[in-house]
Amino acid sequence: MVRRRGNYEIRIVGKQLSCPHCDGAIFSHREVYIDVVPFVDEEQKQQLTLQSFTCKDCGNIQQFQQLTKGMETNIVYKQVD
Amino acid sequence: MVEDLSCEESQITILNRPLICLFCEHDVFIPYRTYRNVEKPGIDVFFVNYTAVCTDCGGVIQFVDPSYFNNREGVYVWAFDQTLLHTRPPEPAIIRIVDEVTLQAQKKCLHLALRLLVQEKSVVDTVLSLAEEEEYCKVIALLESKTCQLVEEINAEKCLASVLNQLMTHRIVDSNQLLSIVINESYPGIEPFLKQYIK
Repeated sequence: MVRRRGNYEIRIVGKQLSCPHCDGAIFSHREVYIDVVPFVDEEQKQQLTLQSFTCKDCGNIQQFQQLTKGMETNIVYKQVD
Repeated sequence: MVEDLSCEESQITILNRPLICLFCEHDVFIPYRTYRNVEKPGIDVFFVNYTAVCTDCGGVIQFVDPSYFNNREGVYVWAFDQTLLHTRPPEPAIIRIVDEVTLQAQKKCLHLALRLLVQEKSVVDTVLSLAEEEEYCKVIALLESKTCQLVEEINAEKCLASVLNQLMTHRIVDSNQLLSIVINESYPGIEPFLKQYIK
């Protein structure tokens, strides 16, 4: 499990993440795993790995998948405390 | 409209409204069918939903299928529509290779089955020579009183299936027994079965 301790400001593809509920800009982070319904011929269970951001002020959760292109990644973390 | 969303890069509409990423406003997603265990009405009851990931920013939207039956109009309304961004390459053709022993067994059974049909005067005896020359399309055309149309390749196995079907249709052989032999014993069983009817 990956967990970034502390609180963060998040930029996604260069844009500041804000809470759609309270406009908060500080989030805590957890990596979460979501089970994918397997296809008929699939034996092994597949999981979707997502980065979950919880608003420090109101608790609203937003989730993103980490996408990387070469050395670049869509999610940039800036620790604030 | 589609019943299920395919896990491919695509544009999606739900009840005719396009799915738009709440963060970056792009409209291209990869939808995954995901599930979670739910407490009620019992443990190990799974709640299936869709988790769509925006291909631009990675933003996630979760939703269920809101398809419903419209009582007033008496029709089922499918909620999803999906436009795939990349068309799939055609699936490779399946090539079946028949070994020599099987092929000879097929031809032998075909010959016996045709002899039975000729014996019962269900077809003219030229089918025997046509089968020898592997003109299976013409054999089927004669049997089914149709003109030969080459819509697909007819091999000995398909021709035999058609001839056995004729034997059953004309009640020349015991249908139940033949079907059981085809399923359980294949060619080693079909040959002696057909031979017992030949006078």
